Amino acid sequence: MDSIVPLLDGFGTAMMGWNLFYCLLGVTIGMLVGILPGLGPTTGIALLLPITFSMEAIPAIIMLSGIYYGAMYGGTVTSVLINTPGEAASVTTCFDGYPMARQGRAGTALGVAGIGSFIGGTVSMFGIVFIGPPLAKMALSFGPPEFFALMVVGLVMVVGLMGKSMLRGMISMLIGLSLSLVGMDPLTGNLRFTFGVPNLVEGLDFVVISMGLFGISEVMLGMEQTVFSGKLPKVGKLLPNRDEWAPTMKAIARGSGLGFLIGLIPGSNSVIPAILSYSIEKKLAKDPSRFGKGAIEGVAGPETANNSYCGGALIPLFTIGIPSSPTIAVLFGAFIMHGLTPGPMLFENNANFVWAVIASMFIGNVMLLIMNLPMASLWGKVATIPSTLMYPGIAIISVVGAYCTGGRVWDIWVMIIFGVIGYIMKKIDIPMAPIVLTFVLGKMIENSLVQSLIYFYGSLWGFLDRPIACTLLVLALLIFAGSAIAGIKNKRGMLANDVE
Amino acid sequence: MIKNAGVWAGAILLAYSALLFQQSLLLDYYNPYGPGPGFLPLWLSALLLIVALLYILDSIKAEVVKLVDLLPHDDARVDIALMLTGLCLFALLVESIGFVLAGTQLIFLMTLRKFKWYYALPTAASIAVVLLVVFQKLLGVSLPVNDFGW
Repeated sequence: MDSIVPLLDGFGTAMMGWNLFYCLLGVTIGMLVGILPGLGPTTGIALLLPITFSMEAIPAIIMLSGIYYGAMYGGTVTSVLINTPGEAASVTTCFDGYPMARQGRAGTALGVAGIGSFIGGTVSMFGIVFIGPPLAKMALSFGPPEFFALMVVGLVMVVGLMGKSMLRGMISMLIGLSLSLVGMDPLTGNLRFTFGVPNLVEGLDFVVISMGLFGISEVMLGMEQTVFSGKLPKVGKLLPNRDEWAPTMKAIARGSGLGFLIGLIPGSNSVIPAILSYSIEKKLAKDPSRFGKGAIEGVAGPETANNSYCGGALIPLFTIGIPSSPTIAVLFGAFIMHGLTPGPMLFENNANFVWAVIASMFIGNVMLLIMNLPMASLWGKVATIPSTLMYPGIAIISVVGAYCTGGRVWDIWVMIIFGVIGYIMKKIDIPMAPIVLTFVLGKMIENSLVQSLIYFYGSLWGFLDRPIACTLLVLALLIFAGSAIAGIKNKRGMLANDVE
Repeated sequence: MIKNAGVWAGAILLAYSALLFQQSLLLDYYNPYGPGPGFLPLWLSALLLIVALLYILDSIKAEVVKLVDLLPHDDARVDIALMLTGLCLFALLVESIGFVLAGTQLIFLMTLRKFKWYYALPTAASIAVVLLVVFQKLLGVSLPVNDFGW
């Protein structure tokens, strides 16, 4: 209950004129990012991050967060209307959303997805409100060994769950870690892997790498894809039939819980709750054969789960300072850029900021519900805009963004190189998410490891004397072994998609 | 094997990890206080070496991505080449000719095949000017400009 008063204060800040405007702007851009195939929330946030350079922290993060959860709503529209997921988490919505649209029930699919997304998003916001502060207090007792172990769990999860093979995930992870080591060693001041290049002394910039990997490479891949040129189905009635309400609401309730819980796990991604929710709904259904042919629960559950995941995934960022997905990693970068340190002290030192951002998410969810239900067909039309028209815009904003991060042309070259690397990586099926996550966490991992080893007089066995760290490392080992076995048995299945 | 993209990617990765390994050996592995600046890089690059070797073996055994598949499809090949050319020209020229001209050439090259040049050019110039105004004046973000201020 201690959270209610600061939350109300947060509403006061979030409702102030410009903050409200940036919230609306963020969710609107998020919708667009979600609707336009090829542009995910990670790309959207990375591209717009430089725009926030001159903004204050609160409106900047309110806007960027709006893009994050707004994209989850937007992705549904294209999944239902043109059978093309706007972002990865909406893949499952195609399974039943598109068949519903073909049966003349596109409006119902979009309506149910909108309601589910709203409920899932709101439930997870309440989760942040009530779980966030106590978790942050608990995290204050964490030392370097616990943080190191926690990050290892996150990395193992990322490697284990993303990409078609664990080997490829490990490659991506190690590349990201090695890139994070470029520049000055924070503990000793020694230069590493700079090869005499002055621009490398400060290391590589996270925003620049993200824009290359997610922005430029996406444009290159997008240029190879065919553009939707069909006719949009009619949207029609938005609400389900009377007999469909009960199974829909049950699916929404299950999706809310599932998405939120999975969001808490570092290294997870928004595709996992959506797929799990779909599987659960199919297993619980009286007639599973309806799935894939327009089952309403097949839309309601996954759509709720991926929105609920968004709120849950912010908890590790706010409370322990560990990003759990590539999109959150870019948000992490935004926090740092605005002089904020995500982690347990955030609730103590920047309470006004945290609560304003959380309150803005409640407001943003309401805005998205209003934008989605009566305006579904309008968003559908946006989906038919040829993405080729946007590519010049993305390219020019990327170069502006890259230049602005350090005010030097060097960063534009770095972005171009990483754009080409990202393009090749996608072609040979090496997931990019682990690169970004490990790049962000690299310095923290090294610092916590080195500090732990100094504390343990150089012995790795010291981790076994710390119950939390030891438990987490054992958990990491189990996840690693489980993923390896699943890989050998070739059972990575649908989780094996590069996401976000 | 020569046409296997995975083998080539693995070989590049192997070279990259070998370079990191060699560089890591030049750094202090341990110092009087504990692990030195070379501690993590050495382990990391060694692990990357092993993983790169495994990846090469995996690429030989598993389904093969051909080198030619890495290239864009016929129609997109020109589009992508034009974009990369535009980006490189932008990086090369922006500090001397300014944002508006450098941005105009980038957008122009990317829209050249979609629209007639006399539509594409003014549109590209207009977008570059609007972006300059938005970033420089409204958002307070400084962009590289020429002696004339654009």
